[in-house]
Amino acid sequence: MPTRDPSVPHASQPILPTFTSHSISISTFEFRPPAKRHQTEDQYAPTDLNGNPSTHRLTATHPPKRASTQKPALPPPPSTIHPTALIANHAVLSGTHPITIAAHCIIHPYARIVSAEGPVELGEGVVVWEHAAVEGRGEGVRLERGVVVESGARVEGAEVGEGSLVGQGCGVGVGCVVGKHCKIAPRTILEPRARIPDFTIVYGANNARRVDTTARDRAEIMAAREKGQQRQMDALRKLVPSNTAKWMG
Amino acid sequence: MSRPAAASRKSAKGEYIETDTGNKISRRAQITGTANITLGGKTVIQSDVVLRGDLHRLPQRKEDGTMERTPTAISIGRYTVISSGCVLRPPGRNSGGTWRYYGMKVGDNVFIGPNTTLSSASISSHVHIGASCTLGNFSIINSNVKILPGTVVPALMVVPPGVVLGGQPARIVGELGEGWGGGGNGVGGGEEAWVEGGELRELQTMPAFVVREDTGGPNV
Amino acid sequence: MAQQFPYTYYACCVNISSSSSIAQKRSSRVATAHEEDEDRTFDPRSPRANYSLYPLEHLLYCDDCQQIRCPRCYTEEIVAWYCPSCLFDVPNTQVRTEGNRCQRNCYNCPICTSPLQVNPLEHSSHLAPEGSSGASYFLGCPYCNWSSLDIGVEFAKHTGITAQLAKLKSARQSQAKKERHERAENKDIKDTDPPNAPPTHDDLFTNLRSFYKDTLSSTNPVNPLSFDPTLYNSPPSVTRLMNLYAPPSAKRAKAAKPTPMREAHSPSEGFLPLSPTTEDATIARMAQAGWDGLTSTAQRVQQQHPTTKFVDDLWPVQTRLLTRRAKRCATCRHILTKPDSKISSTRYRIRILALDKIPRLSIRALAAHNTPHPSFPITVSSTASSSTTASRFEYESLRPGVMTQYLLTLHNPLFEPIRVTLGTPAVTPGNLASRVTVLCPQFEVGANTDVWDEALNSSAALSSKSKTQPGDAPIQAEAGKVWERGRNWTSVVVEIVPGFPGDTVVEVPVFVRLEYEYEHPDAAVFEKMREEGGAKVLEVPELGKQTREVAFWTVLGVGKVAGG
Repeated sequence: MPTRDPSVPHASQPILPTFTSHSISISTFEFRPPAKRHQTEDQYAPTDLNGNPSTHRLTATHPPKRASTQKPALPPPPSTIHPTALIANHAVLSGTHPITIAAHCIIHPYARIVSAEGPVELGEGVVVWEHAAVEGRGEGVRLERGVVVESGARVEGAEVGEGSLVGQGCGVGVGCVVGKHCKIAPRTILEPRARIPDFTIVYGANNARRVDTTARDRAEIMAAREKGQQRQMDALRKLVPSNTAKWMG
Repeated sequence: MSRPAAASRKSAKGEYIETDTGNKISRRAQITGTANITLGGKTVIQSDVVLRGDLHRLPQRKEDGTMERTPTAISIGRYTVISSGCVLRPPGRNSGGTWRYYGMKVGDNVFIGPNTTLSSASISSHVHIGASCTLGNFSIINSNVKILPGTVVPALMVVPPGVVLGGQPARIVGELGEGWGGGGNGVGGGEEAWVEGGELRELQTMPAFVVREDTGGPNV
Repeated sequence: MAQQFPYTYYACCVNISSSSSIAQKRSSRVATAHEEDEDRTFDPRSPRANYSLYPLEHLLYCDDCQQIRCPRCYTEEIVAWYCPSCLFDVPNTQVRTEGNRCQRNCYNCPICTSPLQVNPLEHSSHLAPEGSSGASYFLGCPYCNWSSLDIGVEFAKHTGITAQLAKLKSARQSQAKKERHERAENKDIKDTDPPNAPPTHDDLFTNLRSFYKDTLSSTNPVNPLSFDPTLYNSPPSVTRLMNLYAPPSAKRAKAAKPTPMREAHSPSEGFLPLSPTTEDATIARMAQAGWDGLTSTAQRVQQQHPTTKFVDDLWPVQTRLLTRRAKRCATCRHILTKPDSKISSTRYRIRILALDKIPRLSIRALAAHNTPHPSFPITVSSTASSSTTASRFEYESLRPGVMTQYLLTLHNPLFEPIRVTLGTPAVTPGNLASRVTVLCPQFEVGANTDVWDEALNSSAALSSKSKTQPGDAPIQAEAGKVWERGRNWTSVVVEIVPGFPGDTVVEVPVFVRLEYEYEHPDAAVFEKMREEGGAKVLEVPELGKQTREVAFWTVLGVGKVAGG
């Protein structure tokens, strides 16, 4: 490595306030009528199950920063949100069907909960990460207690059982039923209308399945996992500012 | 650099904001906790990139009773490109009875392809990561590594330097040539843009951006 | 290969099949472009081409032979062994005694190959503090959630996994052996029955090895075929030598009477006869375990014993070691690269790259080059889609019969200016006959001088550019004229008319020949060395300036024809 050029500040220096001020000016630049934004989203939503969400659509969905402190122009979806749920800034709830969010849920920034085509029901302690999308389709989508939907995953019109994990960039399509305590390994697209029994791990490029005998047979392992998840959620609650009030109406 | 056109760099309404150290950040990047993120300089962050600077280690109370500064959550080196749709989330784990987030470090001359999600503890320099990869919690990628598109690197995996990684889960599928990463002294002339991958290839998403200019000599 | 367009590959060992080519290369110290094998057009579509095309970064360069060196013309030597998971250097002696597996705590998942992690088991009960004596550990897979608990393996400590596993395994084996013996004793009366449980693989192997050792030493004390270099003057070696020089008739007589050797024929000798009862038991177990309970071929080959049939019998796989290797020119034995033996360092002690010795060719469509040229970003537009499409040339959908202009740029890594001659076939070989015209096949590329030189003479550097600034009206490419020129690079225009679909990929072979004045920094020393070495002095390097020529084939992948 050549010695560091003195003209370039040291890497450990945080982004200067100049940048922060810039980032505020972003919103003015990017602002477009919210009504149009929602329209775009609905128009795009039915397609693209298998692919990753297109960047275009993703940008179109989250409201600009300034708007996050205001009420969205479109009425928020008819939703029942438990006051202990955490919906972060930039997380988006949209659609016309009812959205139910139970206690202790965490909806991360830039996650989307869409009920345009069907109801959405999130059980207690569900975590939806950045860029993930939970969409009601057909008979709706239902995530039971403690389900985690990782970054970039899409769950559409499916049922996911208690304590299951949907990995990064996964696709769980309409009609899929995922059992309890399953793990869908990252980048796995489930075949349509897949039935995944309890304690199943779906992994690998060919969607191989195996039964998680460790978790099934050892109560202490399960307890440890739940405990870990609980602690992570506690930590997130401290770190991620809540914007739940905006959606409570 | 020698172009007069380069003088008008800070275009007022461009898609990108340029910081004082030459970082270019898309106005449509989705960054939370900006105060906890450091960028080395001349780094590109494209649209729809999520940087979770808000997930940092909680500041500790110092001996004199004052609180320490919030630790850096994500630090990114120089000449690094983060393509659109990526998610960078610092790694976290249970430690001492609570869940803690740790810093994520990305080196210099790193290319991260579109829609990749990372929770690595560290990614060293001269690493090329393809599109739609997943790098698990606390994975460590050493320098001079190429990760093929769609690879899933399991949590806590350590990737040695100089290898090609691919598959779900990731395994070592090959070795890189000796010329990878800062070999040639002939690289970096003209207004070419180069990024490592397959061959030292043109950076197509950013045609006018010089990625490799540090290898030729002093920065001008 | 899912390679993105456009790309450049460099050919090496184009004609390796002819036995004389190595010798030819050796003699051509100053490579002449007019060698027989270089007269023919290189055909990138030929099946052989797959084995001689490399990206530039994979190629090395031999200074003595003045040739590019590829994996087919260099030899490798292991410098160091290391574990890819814990990044520990393993000494050669340990590799020799314990094999090429990590002996520390590195294990891979027998199900999915991902690295296993040591997890505390008692960690869950928050009452027990971490690291207390009551804690136990297990190996777990972070990807597929397999754990050593599935095969009933727990560890007392989180270190020394290998030793603990070996102990567990041998305990299990002795247990099985004991049970087998007990059963055999009970059935002593009817000893025709084979024992119910077959002996373990390890036992069989030990038995077989000792059997062969005994048989070989007893039946064939003087084996003329076994040659042990450590016993050079032993009777077998002498016999072997005598045999070598004996007249053919005697040899035949000797060969005519080989001593037949007995094979193993009982479990005590390491031979396991196929027994219907054990087979039936296995089949019954297979039926019971079902598809999910059986191992896949990939999982089996990972195991120490590839006969492992059941998922329940899978054992964690020790991580295989990797090597760092030095490379030598196969012709002159000079070292081309030698990495630091420590894995922690990515430095090389010696590294002669083709990247530093031959010009780098890069091709791209002129249309892509000619888009508005702000320094950054490409276009200023509010939507993502338009900004990307406007700037990107569609290499994947070239139109057949329509001329496309490409810009071929050569970067010179040498410290001398080079004169370059490019040669292309007028029509590319293969079904897709594309027409290719290099508008300026002969040109110069400047020396790779210090960047500071350019900075200091920036006005001169600017004026050397033969073209006006891009972003103006489209510039007409002229025949015989260089498109653009910089400090150590020159661009020329190549016109390509893709043919009608036969193949879809358009690849253009280009013969590059360069010439430069070269003064050996220590020519005198070089000469003296040769004389002392007594080697045949083929061409003594001139003390003054000499002209060097280097020539090689490259292949430019310029795109794909649409609708192929």
